[in-house]
Amino acid sequence: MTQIEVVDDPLDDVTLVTRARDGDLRAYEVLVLRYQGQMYRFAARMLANRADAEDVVQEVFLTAWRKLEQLQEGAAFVSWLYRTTTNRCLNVIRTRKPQAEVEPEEHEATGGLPERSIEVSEQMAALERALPTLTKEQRACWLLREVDGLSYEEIAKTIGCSVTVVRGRIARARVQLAEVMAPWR
Amino acid sequence: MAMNDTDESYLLPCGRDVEAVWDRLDEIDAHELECPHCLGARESLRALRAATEEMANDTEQPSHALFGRIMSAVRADMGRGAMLALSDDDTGPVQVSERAIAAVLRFAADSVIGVRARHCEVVARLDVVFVSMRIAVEYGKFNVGVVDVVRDRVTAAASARVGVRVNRLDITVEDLYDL
Amino acid sequence: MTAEHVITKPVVAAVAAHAASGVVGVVRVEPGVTGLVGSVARAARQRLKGLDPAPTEGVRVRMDGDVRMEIDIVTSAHDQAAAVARAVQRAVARAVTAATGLPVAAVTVCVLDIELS
Repeated sequence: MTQIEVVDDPLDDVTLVTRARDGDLRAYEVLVLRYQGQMYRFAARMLANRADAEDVVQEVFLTAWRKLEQLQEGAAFVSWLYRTTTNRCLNVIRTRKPQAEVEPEEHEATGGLPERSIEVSEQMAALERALPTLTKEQRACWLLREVDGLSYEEIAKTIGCSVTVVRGRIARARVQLAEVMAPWR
Repeated sequence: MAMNDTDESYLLPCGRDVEAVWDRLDEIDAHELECPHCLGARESLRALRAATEEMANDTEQPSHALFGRIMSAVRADMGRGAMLALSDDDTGPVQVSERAIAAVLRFAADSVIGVRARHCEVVARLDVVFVSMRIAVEYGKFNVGVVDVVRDRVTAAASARVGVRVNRLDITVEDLYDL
Repeated sequence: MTAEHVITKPVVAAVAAHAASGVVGVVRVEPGVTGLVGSVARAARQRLKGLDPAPTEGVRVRMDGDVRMEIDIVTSAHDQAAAVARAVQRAVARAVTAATGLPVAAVTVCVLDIELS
């Protein structure tokens, strides 16, 4: 006797964006839940500060809501999120006071946020500590490629520069990170 | 030390390019076997690669409160929207948000297998309720009978869940989707 | 002997909101959109302290000669929105009259959202 399982069919981005454009809040909630984690992790690694990262993500999703009309196709939604989140992070860093090129967080909660519930390995902690030693452009390119898996073309569009420059930045970032984490000289 | 983007390729003292070492991290050639610079670089790059993979697989989420803050801001931005007047008796008028009704009807259309509601608009003009709906249907599952099922479910939901009779319901099949 | 009672609007609003939230099918009494951010934060803080949030923002009261009120609610899709709204009208009118001795001329109910799950 076959078992029939009724499973919730996750809706595609195009459908969700179309409905959200109509004012369907529930559809937008799904989009937020689907992508807030990715954007948050990216922002947290760019800014080395979880509270700031949450603020950026909040602004990004509010702006996205207001700009839904302007998005051509649902498929562009994620790209738009990455572009906006990246640029917002770059701006935050640009307008920070110079001496507060922030020390990466230790294990204390910042801005009232809870500590990570999952322990981070020493090697990943070392990588997190190494990231702020990159320039903000190198960090953005490296994260988008190596952690978020965007293509060189997508990164170039996101940041607004050529693919060649993106490659160069990622190569430099790799050298820098490897050296900081495990110096070979 | 931070290198800027206009630097030349980074060359190890033995002349090899670090980027080349990275590209060939899982193979090794005769030179690399002997060369302390290359071996050192390979070890560092391996550590970087492992840490990167861990970071890529990390699923840390923001605080629970963030979602609430985002949706509150979105709701505040939205305003009330148009209201549909249901009835006005001794105790006073009852109104229902047209957007809320549209959400209920969309949900009803979604319940039909092979259908995804895309656009739903509810408009009331002088006690007459118009519903205009655009749906996407699953490629391969679609036949004309499906639209009738959608029609039935939508009118039933309007009556049972809201308490409204739909005077006119236009359904357009505007797209195909693939599972 | 006649006695004069002065009932303030916030009291009337509180009674109404409380009566409305007790009606089957009412998910919550909505705070007004303008007060949203502040009241959500306050509600969150009060919930943390174990207190019920003051649900009066979604109720608008007019008292000039007679009592009229407007109340915003969110209903559950399990119940018919129109029926819930009318039940809210009756419950609110009853509660306000019982608490204040004043007759209620009209209760306008606006269903702002219908929660689907």
